[in-house]
Amino acid sequence: MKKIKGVLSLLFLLIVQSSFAQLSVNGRVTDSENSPLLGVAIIVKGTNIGTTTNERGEYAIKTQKENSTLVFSFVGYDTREVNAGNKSIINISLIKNSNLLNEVVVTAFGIEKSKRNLGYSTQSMDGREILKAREPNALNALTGKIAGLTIGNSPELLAAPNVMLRGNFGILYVVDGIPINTDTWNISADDIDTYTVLKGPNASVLYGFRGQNGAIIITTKKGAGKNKGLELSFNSSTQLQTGLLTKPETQSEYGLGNLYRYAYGNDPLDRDGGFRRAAIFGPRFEGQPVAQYDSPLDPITGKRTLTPWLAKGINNFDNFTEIGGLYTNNIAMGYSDEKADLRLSYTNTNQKGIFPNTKLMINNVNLSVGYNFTKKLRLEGTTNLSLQNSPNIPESEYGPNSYVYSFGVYGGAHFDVLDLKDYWAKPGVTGIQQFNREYGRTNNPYFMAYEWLREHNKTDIYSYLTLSYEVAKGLKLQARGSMTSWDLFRNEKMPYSAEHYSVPDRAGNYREDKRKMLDSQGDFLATYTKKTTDFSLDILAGASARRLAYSSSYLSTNNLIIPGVYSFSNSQNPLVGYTFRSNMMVLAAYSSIDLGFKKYFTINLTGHADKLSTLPIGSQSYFYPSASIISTLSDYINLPKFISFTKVRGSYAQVQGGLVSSQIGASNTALGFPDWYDNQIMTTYDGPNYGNQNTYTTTLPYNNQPGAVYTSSVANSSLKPFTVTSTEFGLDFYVLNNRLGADITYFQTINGPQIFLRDLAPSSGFNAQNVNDVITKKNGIEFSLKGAPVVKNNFRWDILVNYATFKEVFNEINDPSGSIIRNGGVFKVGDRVDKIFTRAYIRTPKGEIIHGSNGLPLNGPAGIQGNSFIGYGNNDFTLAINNKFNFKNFTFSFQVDGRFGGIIYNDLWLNGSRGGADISTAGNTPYGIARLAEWESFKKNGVVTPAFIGTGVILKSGSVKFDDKGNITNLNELTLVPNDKAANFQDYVVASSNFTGEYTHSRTFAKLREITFGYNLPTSFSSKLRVKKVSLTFVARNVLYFGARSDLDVDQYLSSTLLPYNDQGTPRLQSPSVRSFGINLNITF
Amino acid sequence: MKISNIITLFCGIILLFTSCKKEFETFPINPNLAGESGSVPPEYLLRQLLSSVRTGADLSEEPLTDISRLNQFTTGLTFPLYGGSNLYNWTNTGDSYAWIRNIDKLNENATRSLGTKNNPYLTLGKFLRVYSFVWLTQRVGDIPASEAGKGLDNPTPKFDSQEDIYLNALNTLDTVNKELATIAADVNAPKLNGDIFFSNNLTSWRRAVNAYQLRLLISLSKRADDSPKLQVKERFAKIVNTPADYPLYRSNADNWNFTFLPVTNRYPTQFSRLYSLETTVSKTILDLLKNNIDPRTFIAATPAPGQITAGKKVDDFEAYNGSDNSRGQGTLFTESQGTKGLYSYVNYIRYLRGPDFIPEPYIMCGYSEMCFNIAEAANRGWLNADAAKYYEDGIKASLLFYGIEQGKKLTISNATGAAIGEATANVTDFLAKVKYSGNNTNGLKQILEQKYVAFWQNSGWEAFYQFRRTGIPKFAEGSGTNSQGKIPSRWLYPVREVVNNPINAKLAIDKQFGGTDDVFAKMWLIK
Repeated sequence: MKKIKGVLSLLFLLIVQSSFAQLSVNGRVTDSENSPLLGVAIIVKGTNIGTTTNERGEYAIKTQKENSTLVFSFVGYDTREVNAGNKSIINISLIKNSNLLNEVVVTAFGIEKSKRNLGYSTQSMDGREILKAREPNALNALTGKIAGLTIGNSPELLAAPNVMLRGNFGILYVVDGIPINTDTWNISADDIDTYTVLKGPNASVLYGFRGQNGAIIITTKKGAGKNKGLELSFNSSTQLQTGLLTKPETQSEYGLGNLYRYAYGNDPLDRDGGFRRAAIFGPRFEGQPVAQYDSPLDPITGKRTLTPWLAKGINNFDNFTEIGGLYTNNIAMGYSDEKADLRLSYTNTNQKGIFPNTKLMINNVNLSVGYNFTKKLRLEGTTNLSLQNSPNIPESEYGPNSYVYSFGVYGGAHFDVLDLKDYWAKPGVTGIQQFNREYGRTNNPYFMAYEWLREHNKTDIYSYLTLSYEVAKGLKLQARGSMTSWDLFRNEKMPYSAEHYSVPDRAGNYREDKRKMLDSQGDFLATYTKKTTDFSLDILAGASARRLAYSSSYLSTNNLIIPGVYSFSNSQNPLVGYTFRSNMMVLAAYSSIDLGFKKYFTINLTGHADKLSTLPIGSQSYFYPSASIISTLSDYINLPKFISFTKVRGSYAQVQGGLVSSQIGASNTALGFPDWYDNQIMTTYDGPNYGNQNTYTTTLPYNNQPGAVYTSSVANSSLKPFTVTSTEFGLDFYVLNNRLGADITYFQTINGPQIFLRDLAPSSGFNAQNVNDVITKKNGIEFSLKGAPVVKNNFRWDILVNYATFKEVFNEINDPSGSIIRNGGVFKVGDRVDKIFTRAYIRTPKGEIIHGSNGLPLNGPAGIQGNSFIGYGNNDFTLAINNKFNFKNFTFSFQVDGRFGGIIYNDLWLNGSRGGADISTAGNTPYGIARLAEWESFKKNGVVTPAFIGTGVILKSGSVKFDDKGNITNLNELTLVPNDKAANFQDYVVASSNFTGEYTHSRTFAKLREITFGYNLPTSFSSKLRVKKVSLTFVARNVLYFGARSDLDVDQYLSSTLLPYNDQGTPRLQSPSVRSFGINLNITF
Repeated sequence: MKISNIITLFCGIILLFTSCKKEFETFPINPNLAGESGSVPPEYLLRQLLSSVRTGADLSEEPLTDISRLNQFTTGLTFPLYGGSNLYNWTNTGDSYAWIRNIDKLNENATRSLGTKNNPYLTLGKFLRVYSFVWLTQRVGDIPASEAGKGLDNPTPKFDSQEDIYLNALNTLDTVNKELATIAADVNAPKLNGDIFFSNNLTSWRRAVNAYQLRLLISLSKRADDSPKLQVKERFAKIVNTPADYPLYRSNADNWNFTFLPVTNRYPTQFSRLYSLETTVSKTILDLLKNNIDPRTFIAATPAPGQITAGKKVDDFEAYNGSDNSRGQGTLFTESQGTKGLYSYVNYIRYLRGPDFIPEPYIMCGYSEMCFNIAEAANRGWLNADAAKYYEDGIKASLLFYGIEQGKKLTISNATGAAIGEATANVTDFLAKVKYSGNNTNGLKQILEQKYVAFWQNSGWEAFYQFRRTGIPKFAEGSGTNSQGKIPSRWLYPVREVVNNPINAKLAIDKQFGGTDDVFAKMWLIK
């Protein structure tokens, strides 16, 4: 009814107005997203007739004559002129100012500064950019959007992305100026106004050692945004994960067995079988009779009736995985008036995994309130509550508890996975014994999905309250209190008969992992601003106290008494338990001065003093400075006309700290006990690691009676904090009337002297000692191109290009040996830190593989002497290109990004090959051809005639001698002839798996990351519905993957070490990565 | 806000900064573990030390694991599955210096808590120090010993010659023998606790220490004539001839044994019972057993399936057939399969029945070995003793250890544990067959062969060390051994020693092995 009334009155208005002699024009002004704009100035060109828009973006104006020109202008938007002609309705949309000069950047402590005055590198992104093409984790959406920020997207359920900035992990997250302790899952994309990335210590030095690797600053939405009054918005996304981008690639020509033989035993559980735990080295699928798990048992003879051996499960993996889904719904209410602003937002994220019976729900509530008591006194507070809940998180590990292991490494096509759906063995063993195709190495995947469950519950809260008071013009005082608290509960219900290396009795277990964090901070800040004609002055001084308290416990049964009862009172043997707790206190005082002189330059000086409780007494207090200078050349030098703006900047910063870890695992690993909880998640920590202590660890070596061992690392009571020094130079360069800008930054980070665990000779009685040693030097360049090269009436093209590169080398090593061991090799000054050493085939100088007399690749010495340098782990550079087009009500965007150069080890390739399952071990490949020949010989003679002749040479006589670097020293004493010795294919592939280096490949990959196609409902239509804005977007993410192999999505692996799982909690065998398609609906009332 | 308020606020902050003194003193300390000044009962350190010593510091020295294949007791058929590899791809060894560190801590805590230097922990610490250095030196050659374990006071200790290490070891073992006697006799001396081997009985330890010294002396047989410092023969004779000063083992009951327990310290094969069809008995030992009609054949192995199919009886020694460690695994596997069924598997009902079935304890250094050592010394003319008697005692002790007496019925199972018959132990015929042939080369061979058989699934690397020293029994070598087709004589030095103590390590390698740290080079001990 109300709606009809509105339409009627609108019509009436039109009729009435057109009857006047004067021309009346009215309409609605919106932004490119179709949001109404309030307060847009409209004047009739050449007159002083003018008006402004109301909160629905509507205006009405009268002109004297036809063909007058209306000028629409609004701060932050490009001014538009429209010839009214004789039109009475003009609806237009203004496009956000493409003048990059007006960009305002949020810096440390939430202080806004004009980008003009920044002496260091930052880059921002509008939160609205990532509202549509959703990712399970909001941070994933930053991929490619910031030069120097690398996001490793993880395909695992509830795995936070690996976030690396300029090659460093351990990035600080700051919300509205407050550092928070977050796993990033409690950051809801719908609550974010802007992201700003402070790229190095130069930018984040005010946060002390927490900011040493840079920071991601998040500014949340407040009130009703720029509007007054009440605003409601609704945003809904539905995405389906339909295709597997990368997945295990296995052969389906040969089945389970060993050396072409296979037979299942007569016992239902194969207890009398000779091929328990066999790999995929069995007979070829030719329909021949073979005793199999599903072959019927003859009741009279008690023996299995042989059944045809066929590839029953070519599509096992695809048949087992399901379509995943990501459903995100947000509803937010904002209100603003002169005195107060308030925003309440609720986000529900519901993710269904691609493996059966896996899902994740996140409920997030964000409340922010601001109240102005007077014009000078303001109180502001935010509380964010996030509840994560999952009834089952799947494992992705190298082991029988992982699906990729079960399908990729020891899969095989000799069984149909759908045949295993009814997963209890028959008869009468429901709840006790699983039914599987083999017993010993794998589990029935459905048994895993529905019985072996890992629950996850986490509550995250962060909250702050700020009171600010403007004492006098330019002088502002502010006091803040903030806290982050989270509480994690994980359990594992391991059923009877579950196969796992750590549980030999297969009697199941129940485990709980609990962790609790309270990280609180109080600070005080005073700022003073003063401007004269020649000088500008900004002073900041503050102090803070931070206290962290963490505790965790891990408890496990040791074999269950009664199957299916998951309780600590149901343990056959004494429970195994660990607790870990820690406390930390950090006091800091800091000040910063910005001094500007005329239009020529601005200088910034900062000092930071810390007292940190993790360091040894006597080394706890320290001070570090920073400085920067900025000069806008285009303000006082005449430059060619096409250059509209040029700024140069330089900065220097130092940070100190120490003995703090950014992440922590379950309490057993935190204490230094071995990890037997496989899919252990690392949680965000930023607390003491107690890495410099002489301690005794207690054990239970015999008959559950106590034992103790003394630490293997000697503590250093005079250990000093580490030092990181960073120098940065930048050039900002704008053309096309400031519409297109380039930002080039060169940085150098001197990391050291570090707190370094120096290796000792074992004969000293210790393994290592903490010292202040080792300095690395990292040089890098970041380049970002941003802007709107084409803006024409209804059309706008935005482009964003980001490029980053860095190299890090050892600059100083004071170890008595002059070198250090890492990544499997010896490193000296000048070496890149990401050199990777591992075992590779022994080759002649010409590169031919040398084989031993048995026809298998020759083994070199073990340990580091047998390792070869095989390449660099880091990418050479990263590149991302994002294009966005607006035309009338349509938007279209796409992003391509990639990381280039470097090598990575592929664990699935190696283990899948060793297991005989990898696709390269069958078909028309060198292995496959030999395998077929061997199979034919076996079929014919019952004996395998070896048929694989490795390419290269064979050692006919002589004994190889190696030097301490693993090089052959007596090549002239050896008789090497082309290899003519045939080895068993199986022996060869197994022998080759000792050479990790042969299973590495390029780390280069590129993704068509995102495509969006959006339509904003025309204003005329949406206003009829009494809504301010409606938009509908079709999205696709992770559309295409281009990489060296299709079984490994390199994306999530960022680190420079050989074994990718040394990354921050990333698994050895990853779950397949998925492609997603969906639709997003966004409504603002 | 008034100026006074601001001042109050600043004062508050200053107060906050200064009031945290206590936190900054306590927070640096890890509250979850005992610190260096913490009071740790010496028995805890001892218990853990003894447990670590038992399993060794490199490959786990436990029955039916890798070490069993390298001692050529068993053979893996299927490496990519779980039978394990038969390869001798030896490289850098692990090291035993972590034991030295914890021995020092044992001494420190024992002295502090017991207030006397006259305590059994210190004495056992001395013995364990010897054990640690010997453990490592016999693997590599010269090692840092006299300057080792000093932490940062000496991060690059010099290497001592193997001869000096053994001299010091033998002297220390004498001291330990004496001290154990004194402390055992002193009713006021603190009592031992945490002993997982002898239930804190010092006299038992004394016998073990002396028997262990005999083992070291025999291992020095190649240096018996050319190292006057060591006086190998004289020391050996003195120990055997003065039982009042050097009590020795009297029977298996005195053995230095490790006793397995259900659940907490399981017999290590229980999990591998899944792979029973992937581990066969080695030809090296099985030939010695069956050719001598040794009833321990039925302890070690099951009949080869092919022989049973062909109609052989389960107690026919010809039904037992070992596999050759030096042949390729692919060949062995093929021959083990189907109607051929050439090879005997490891006795399932004895060793793989599990989960908490314990077939036998693990001998660290036993009575039977001691008898053979004395027999060997007598055969070599080091002392005047009845070699034949010690030889026979050694055999009988070993038979008893495996529960074998004349006429004992032994159940024979197939490879997966199903009983398929019975054999009767004929000890008399066996003893007649292996009757000692006198103090000649053949007699020596008999002693060494029977000692080797008695090492079946026990005594760490002793079986290998004996082969390395004497060549008896001949270990199989060939293309399945490694790419050189030869069994190595030693391990390479620990990598971290070579890298972090480079000058001393290079000196030692140059001096002993002409500059190449080579697994085939011969160290002083066995040159």
